[in-house]
Amino acid sequence: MKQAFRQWMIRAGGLFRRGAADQRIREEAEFHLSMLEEQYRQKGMSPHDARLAAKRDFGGITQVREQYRDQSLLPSVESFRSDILFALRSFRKTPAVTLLIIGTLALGIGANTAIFSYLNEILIRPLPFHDPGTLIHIGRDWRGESGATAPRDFFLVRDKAKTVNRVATMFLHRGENVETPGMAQYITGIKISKDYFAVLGIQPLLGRTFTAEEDAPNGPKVVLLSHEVWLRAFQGNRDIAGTSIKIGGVQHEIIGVMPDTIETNLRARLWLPLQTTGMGRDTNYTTIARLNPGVTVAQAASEMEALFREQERQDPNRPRGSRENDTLTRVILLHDLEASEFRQPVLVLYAGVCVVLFVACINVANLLLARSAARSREIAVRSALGAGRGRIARQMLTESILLSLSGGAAGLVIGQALVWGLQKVLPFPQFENVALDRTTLWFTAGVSLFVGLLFGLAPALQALRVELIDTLKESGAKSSASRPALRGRQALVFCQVLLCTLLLAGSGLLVRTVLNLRAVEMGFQPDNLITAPMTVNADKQRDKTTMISYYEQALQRVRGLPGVSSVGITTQLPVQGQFNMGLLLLDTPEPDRGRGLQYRVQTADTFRTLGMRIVRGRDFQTSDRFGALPVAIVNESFARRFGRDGDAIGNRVRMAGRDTPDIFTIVGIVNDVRETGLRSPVPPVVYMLFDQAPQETIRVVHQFVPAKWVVRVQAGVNPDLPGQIRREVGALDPSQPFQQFQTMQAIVSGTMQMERLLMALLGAFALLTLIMVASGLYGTLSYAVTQRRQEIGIRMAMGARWQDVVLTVSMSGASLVAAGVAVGLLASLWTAKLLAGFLFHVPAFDPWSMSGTAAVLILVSLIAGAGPSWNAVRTDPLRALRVD
Amino acid sequence: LPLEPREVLPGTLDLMVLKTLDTLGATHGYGIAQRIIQISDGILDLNQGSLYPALLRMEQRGWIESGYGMSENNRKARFYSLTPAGRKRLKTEIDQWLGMVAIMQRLIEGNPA
Repeated sequence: MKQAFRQWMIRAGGLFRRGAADQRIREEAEFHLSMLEEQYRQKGMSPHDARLAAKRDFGGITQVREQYRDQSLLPSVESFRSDILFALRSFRKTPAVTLLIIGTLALGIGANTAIFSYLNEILIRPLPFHDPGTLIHIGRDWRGESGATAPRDFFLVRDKAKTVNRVATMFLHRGENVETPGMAQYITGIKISKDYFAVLGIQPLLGRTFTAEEDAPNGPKVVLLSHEVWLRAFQGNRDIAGTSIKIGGVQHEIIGVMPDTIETNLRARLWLPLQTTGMGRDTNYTTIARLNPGVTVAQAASEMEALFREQERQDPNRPRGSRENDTLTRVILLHDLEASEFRQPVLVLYAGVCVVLFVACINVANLLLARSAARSREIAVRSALGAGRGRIARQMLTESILLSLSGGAAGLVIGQALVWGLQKVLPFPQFENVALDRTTLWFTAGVSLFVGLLFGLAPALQALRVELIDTLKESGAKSSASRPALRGRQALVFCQVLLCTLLLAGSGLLVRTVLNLRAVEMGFQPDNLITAPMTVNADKQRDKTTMISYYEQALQRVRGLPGVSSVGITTQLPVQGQFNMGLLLLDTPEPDRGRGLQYRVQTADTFRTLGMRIVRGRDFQTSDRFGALPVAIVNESFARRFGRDGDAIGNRVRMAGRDTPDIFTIVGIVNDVRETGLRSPVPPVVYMLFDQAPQETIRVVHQFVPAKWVVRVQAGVNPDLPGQIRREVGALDPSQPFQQFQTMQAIVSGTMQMERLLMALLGAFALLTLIMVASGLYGTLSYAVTQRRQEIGIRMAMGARWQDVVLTVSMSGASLVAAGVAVGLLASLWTAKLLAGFLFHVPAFDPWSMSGTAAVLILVSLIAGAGPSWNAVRTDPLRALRVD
Repeated sequence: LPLEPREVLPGTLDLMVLKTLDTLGATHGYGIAQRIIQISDGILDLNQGSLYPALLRMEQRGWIESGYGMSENNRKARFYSLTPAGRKRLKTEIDQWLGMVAIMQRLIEGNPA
């Protein structure tokens, strides 16, 4: 073994020292010959005779040299070299087909590479934190919906859990108005418990992270800045000790700066201490922890479950009627939490792109088959000259792999271009870091090699099957031998049509989904509506009168701008999400213990601005002020659910909580609006005014959500309206900038961006495969026509009309496609299951998508069949019969 | 009875070369060839050139090694010598050959072992 290896090594070395081996045998021969010559001369021969005698004794020099050289090289490597040279020669002979093959592969592999780099980012690449395999997320699912934890849950885990050594929690995303010299900006930030960065294993670049005192309730105003904010606000000045920055209108001392490597993964630009009492029960906190060495996720999960169960059992304020299994503890790797939202779409897209690649492979196999059919005589000659079948099959595989590697190289370029393009259009921050990294490169290389073997198999197998004598003999009557080849190609086209059907049907379902979502009756008019959020600073949150007078002045300024029809402010936009508050209904048959209801606070003009309709009773009025009778408006869903005979006017509600005694009377019912998204049924909603809602309620609401301004504009009157609004309102208080202005239409379509993304990409994949199917079908039909030229000639000589010929040719294509479509449609029931999470009001067996798919494919098959049919019709019977 | 010149028996060249190197020590290809011809009394019809691929093969297998040296008439030549592995190989080859000879002998004389 060792010896064999040694020999192999020496020989492999010889491969690159071909010249050295030649040189050595030349020297040896020269020395040997001269010694022989001298020996003969000493025996008295003439120099000439001596030379001849020497040569005779030595034997054939050329043969020895050949032998010597062959032996100094690896035989398999050597013949591999000749395989490659041979392949390159045969590519040069058919440049068009070769380019077509490489192009097809480049598209397939390029798309595959691009989507794989997303899959890699979401599912494979470890989080860029220290030892990500021990970083867990602790969540609590409520009635099957994944949920977060409450401050008291965090305290419980932090103080009691033994399977983890460090625990931290953070308050879900929100932002702050940050004032730096010369400007104010809205910057995303999160509130974190003191060990947050310690759990993640991140050291600050400058300064330190929060101490226990800073994280205690009513602790000092301190802040950690991101690298980016530090650069912008302090130009990277490393001396930050004792500096402060105004956040939300309040000075905060800067205690540290975090490194720039983490920003995109934490999606925050500044961090504030959480300073929680640990009493809260609101589940708005993401809790993470570090597993102790050797502890599994499952072990941690069972400990957490036990802890939470115990906490619930001992909870005196446990909501009545809540059941044991309402909440379930869910402990997963932090990586899986990050992946959860995009796992399914990325997998769906990757499946789609694999189908594309597979179809491309089939096309290439088809082209190679056609080529090897044309080369069957060459192959037969080679095997007659002594090339073994294995040798020829290997030649075929070498060609395929060369092709696939070239396709892979070109595919990398296409993949990179696609990723650049996609990065520009994809709105998801989770994709920010996507790039072609080393994993992707290796993966693409592997895929290229694999597809080379895959599509190379068909021609290689065919080469093994070539009947030597038949092929050499085959001159005129090429009927029987070619039939299996044709059948093989038909099978390939069948598979292509099937796969294409899957993609077409899948994108059909998504098109229908998007259409259905667009057709949803939203209950308001999103056109000509622009909106932007603005967080008011702490002074206004604390004091309602300040806030209201600020809003009134600001609204007055905006109303005066040209192109503004009306303007309102609300705490939650339609379709954008949930916001619950605890409310008590005072007029239910039995005493109400309080319930979480969708809740919005707004200004008087907001319904009108959004284009909502008062169904019964009245709208808010300017006279509904602080001090006047507190009023509320509810939606139809509320009235149906809680009112008598669908009418809730006159009923009274109150905020749950002791310090808010105001009782609100329902004075109007507004039409149902898709408050929580296009897909969800309209929940009961209670609307109140900023003027009248309790101070404490307003403070709490603002902690969670910034108020959103909505402006109904006159179309086309004032294109610079957002800028003017910014300036007008900014003049009033420059410390509170607006965030991004958007059209309401953009927000509505933003809620279906995942569906639209899938639709667009799967649609593109389907189109790509459709083109490949068309070309594959065209090739196969042309081949069939060539093969049957004589038969067609005879038929025409016997009086067949051209219609009959066209019918025969296109029928053979159409039946192939029909079979593929039929099986594909059945299989697409399974595709629909894969897509089920994204579909909206579309049945798995959707007649529209199904019939559309079938129609498209049949149409394409007719188009692809037209050329070959025409060729068949033009067959000259005389020439066809003479064909040699 | 004078013997006809005859070809080298297949498979015996290795043994001849190894034994020659064992006897003479480091030798160039020409020396090896002359020694084999001399020992066979001119009866072996050795195709001298074919020695070199065999030498290369044995060197690749690690039985012999080679390097430059000066020949008796002061010319630069490649000298071959046995390695320890080559010595071991020589012993195996000799045993095999003697075994074969014994078999042939018994066969010819008709004496079962």
